[in-house]
Amino acid sequence: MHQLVSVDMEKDLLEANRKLAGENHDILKEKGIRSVDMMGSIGSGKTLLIERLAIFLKDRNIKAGVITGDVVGDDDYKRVISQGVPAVNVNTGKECHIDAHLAEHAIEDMDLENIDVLLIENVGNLVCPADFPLGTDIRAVIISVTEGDDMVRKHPLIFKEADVIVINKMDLAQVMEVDIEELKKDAFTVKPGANVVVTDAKHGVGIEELAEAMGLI
Amino acid sequence: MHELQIASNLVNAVMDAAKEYKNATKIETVHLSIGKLSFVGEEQLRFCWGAITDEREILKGSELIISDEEVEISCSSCGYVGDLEVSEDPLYHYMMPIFACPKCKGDVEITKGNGVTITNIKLMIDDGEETDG
Repeated sequence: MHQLVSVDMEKDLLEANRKLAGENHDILKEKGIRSVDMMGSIGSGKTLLIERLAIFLKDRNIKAGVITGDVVGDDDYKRVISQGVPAVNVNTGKECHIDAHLAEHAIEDMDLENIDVLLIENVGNLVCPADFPLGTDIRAVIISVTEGDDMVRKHPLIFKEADVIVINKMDLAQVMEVDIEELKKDAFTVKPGANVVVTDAKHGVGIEELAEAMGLI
Repeated sequence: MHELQIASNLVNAVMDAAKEYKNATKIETVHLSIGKLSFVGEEQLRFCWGAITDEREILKGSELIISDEEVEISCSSCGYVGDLEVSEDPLYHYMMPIFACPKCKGDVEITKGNGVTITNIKLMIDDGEETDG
């Protein structure tokens, strides 16, 4: 005879990711490595900012390692290693973000004994990475003026999650007719007390302020 | 997109729960609560759920019942627990959540509304007894 059984439960499907993120955090903390998840929109300048940060830190005898995440390809990885910075490439395949599981494998492949700082470049996306913390000390969100002045208001949740908000390509603000103050105002509306840094990665402006905001120096 | 990953995790979790019942023959319904702040799209999730469950006899035709989970925030400074404040901008025709305490403007933690949670499953089991008549 068949019988219908009702089973009440409370199983969070995002919990597995958060648990792995906690494990990643413990591994990095044990090695004394400061870590940053660099989230942000496509073309906002994440890779160049990472290159600038890594070189800035190298000049101060702080060794950075980089995990480059993209859906496919190794373009960003090649750019980073060409600067003499150790890197591990992660291709997410179908996925729109790096999750804690992919980060875990990339961390395994990284020589943790020889780095002080780990910068993880997430897939260019202002939506999905918000749901998937990787276990880093800092979660940073990078946007640039070329995406327009409504990026914050269109994606508020990821900015709530951000310990540091970067507005890049300040040198192009005038030509793009984008008001950086407008972007800042939205950031402070969504997240009062937000830690906002304005940069021009192309010309190396604001890198020291960014390193400071991320607690890397 | 990540609805496929979520749907796959959902199927695995439901199958794990069903394993507790040796004679489970069919999963009838799965109740899922999606937080209003999570980035999981209901339509995309239903599509992925249908595609995955169609391949498994025990899950084929199972009904996925989705409800919204409201957002709740809590403030560590003044102890406020409750709704999130939103800023309505008529220019943009949408509301922007403000992740600060509505009372003291302090930093808040999101305590509800950002998860994807299975709350109940109903499954048919065969208890092995013959039906009378």
